[in-house]
Amino acid sequence: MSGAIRKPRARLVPAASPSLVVGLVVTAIFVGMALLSLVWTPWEPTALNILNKLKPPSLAHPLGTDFFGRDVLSQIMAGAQVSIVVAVVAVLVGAGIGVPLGALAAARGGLVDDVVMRSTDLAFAFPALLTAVIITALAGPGAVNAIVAIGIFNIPVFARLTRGAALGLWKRDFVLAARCAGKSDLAITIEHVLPNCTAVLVVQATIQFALAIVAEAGLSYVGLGVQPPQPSWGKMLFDAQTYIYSAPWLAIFPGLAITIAVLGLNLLGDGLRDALDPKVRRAR
Amino acid sequence: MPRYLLGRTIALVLTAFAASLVVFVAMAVLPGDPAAIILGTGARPDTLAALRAEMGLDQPVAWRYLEWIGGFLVGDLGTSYTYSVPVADLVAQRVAVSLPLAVLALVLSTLIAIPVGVYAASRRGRTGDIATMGVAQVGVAVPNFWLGLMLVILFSLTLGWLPASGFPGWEAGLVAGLEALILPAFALALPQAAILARVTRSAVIETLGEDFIRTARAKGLSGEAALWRHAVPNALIPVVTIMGLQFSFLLAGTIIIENVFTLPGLGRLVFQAIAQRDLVTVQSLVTLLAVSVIVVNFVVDLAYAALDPRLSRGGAR
Repeated sequence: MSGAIRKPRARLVPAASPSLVVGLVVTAIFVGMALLSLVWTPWEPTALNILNKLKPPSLAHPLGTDFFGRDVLSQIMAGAQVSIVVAVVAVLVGAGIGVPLGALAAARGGLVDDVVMRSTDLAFAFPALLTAVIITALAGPGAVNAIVAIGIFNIPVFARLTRGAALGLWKRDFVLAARCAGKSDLAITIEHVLPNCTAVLVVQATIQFALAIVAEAGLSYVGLGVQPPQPSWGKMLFDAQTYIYSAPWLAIFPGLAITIAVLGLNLLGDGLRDALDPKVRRAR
Repeated sequence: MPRYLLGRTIALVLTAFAASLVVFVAMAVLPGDPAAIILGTGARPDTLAALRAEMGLDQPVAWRYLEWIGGFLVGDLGTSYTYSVPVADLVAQRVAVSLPLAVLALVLSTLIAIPVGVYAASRRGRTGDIATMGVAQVGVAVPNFWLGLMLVILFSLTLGWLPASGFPGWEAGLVAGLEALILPAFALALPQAAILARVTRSAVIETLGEDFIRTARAKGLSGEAALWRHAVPNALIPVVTIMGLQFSFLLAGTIIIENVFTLPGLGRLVFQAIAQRDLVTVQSLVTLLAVSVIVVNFVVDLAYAALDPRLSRGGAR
């Protein structure tokens, strides 16, 4: 029996694109590094060793040491934790509020739709990072406020995306069929509309995740993110600025970490979009 | 068109008022009495009450909003708590740094992105396309404040071509002023250019697939001429929209970049005002920024409608 019937799986699931593979690998390394840093880092990330300060990269300290003699590699590994936690929670907050709002706007239409859409217009009038800076500066620095400040700007993004995708679905025959079967709008939204939005939402979540990492680094850079001694990439860049003449590696490596993490997530998003949306695949 | 214009203008005014209301309410519900912050913890109650009256804080909230927004409309942004000078004066000094910076960044990013995007589209799928889009993919991922630091290391510390930080003021001459702004402008522009180049590329590729390009080619136009005369101008419509959106990013970007380069712009003013709990300044400044974003998006909408008449005739949304 085996081999007699060829399953058409090969054609249904296309070969993974290079961006999907590279994106997955880079993101896995980034997450793996953060997880590893929970149990092991080459040196204690916060251990001070003044005698060993501002050492350029060497075998013992592959990325050098900072002004307090702390190992830069260990700090970057531990800094990934902050990036991931803040970005994941901020995106979850944004999606958790934005997706229901968008689904509601699409299902109800009329006034509800207008209110939701005009509110997102209003939210887009405030430059996201600027407002995040102001919120954290006024409410006080720290991880929770950073998450709230970044999360707020994910709400309109997810609300609009969900509404747009859901509006198209509400016109489809299977939704009409569900209606004829007497299902409520809520049941149709949960059982038929949202599952069909998953693909676009996952792709957008990847992109927002990357943006949130940059936003978190920006907030930490101006001193409004997580507070020391917890290492964070943005704070490392801020500290590095003082020693930019004598110890440029302090400024180079944390920024590279941000760039590579964001690049990996963007590639993953592009790859997922190609893999999940057959129209885009054909157009390429 | 007039109807479309009227509709968009009403939406513009309503959004701007809603934005000012959001900012005002956010500031009003903040914990902490500005008068108490100015006087410190040891202030006597009667001094506190006198200052509150002087600052108008004893008035009802609705009245304070009307008073503030009424002044705002005629260019009176209030008086800074800490500097005791009109906020409008503070803003005017700082705009002279931030606006040239944002405009310079927008110009640079456009000058870089459009040729690169058109080039990549014309070489679609070939080495030139893959290489430039690979660079753009990395460029999108680079945080602008880090790029700023890297540019300082390269051009100021290693090559010594440009100043690493600070701003001499326009009275030091146009050249000295521009020299101080060129690195921050590049730091802002390059990641934006990467985004814009990707948009330009896909817009041009899409237009190249249109029937009128086939017609142009069929009547004997060379590929090059069809690209520049027919594909590019049509592809620029979505590009203009993205440029409008980028203005908002650039405004937000300047506040971090001004910290990297210690430029005395609006961003630094926002930070100082927040640090000193100078809430009137923060409130007017944020509203001003939001309104300018709304106005730019409005102008982009109009430009879009002028470029593509289908939009204004077929109803806005």
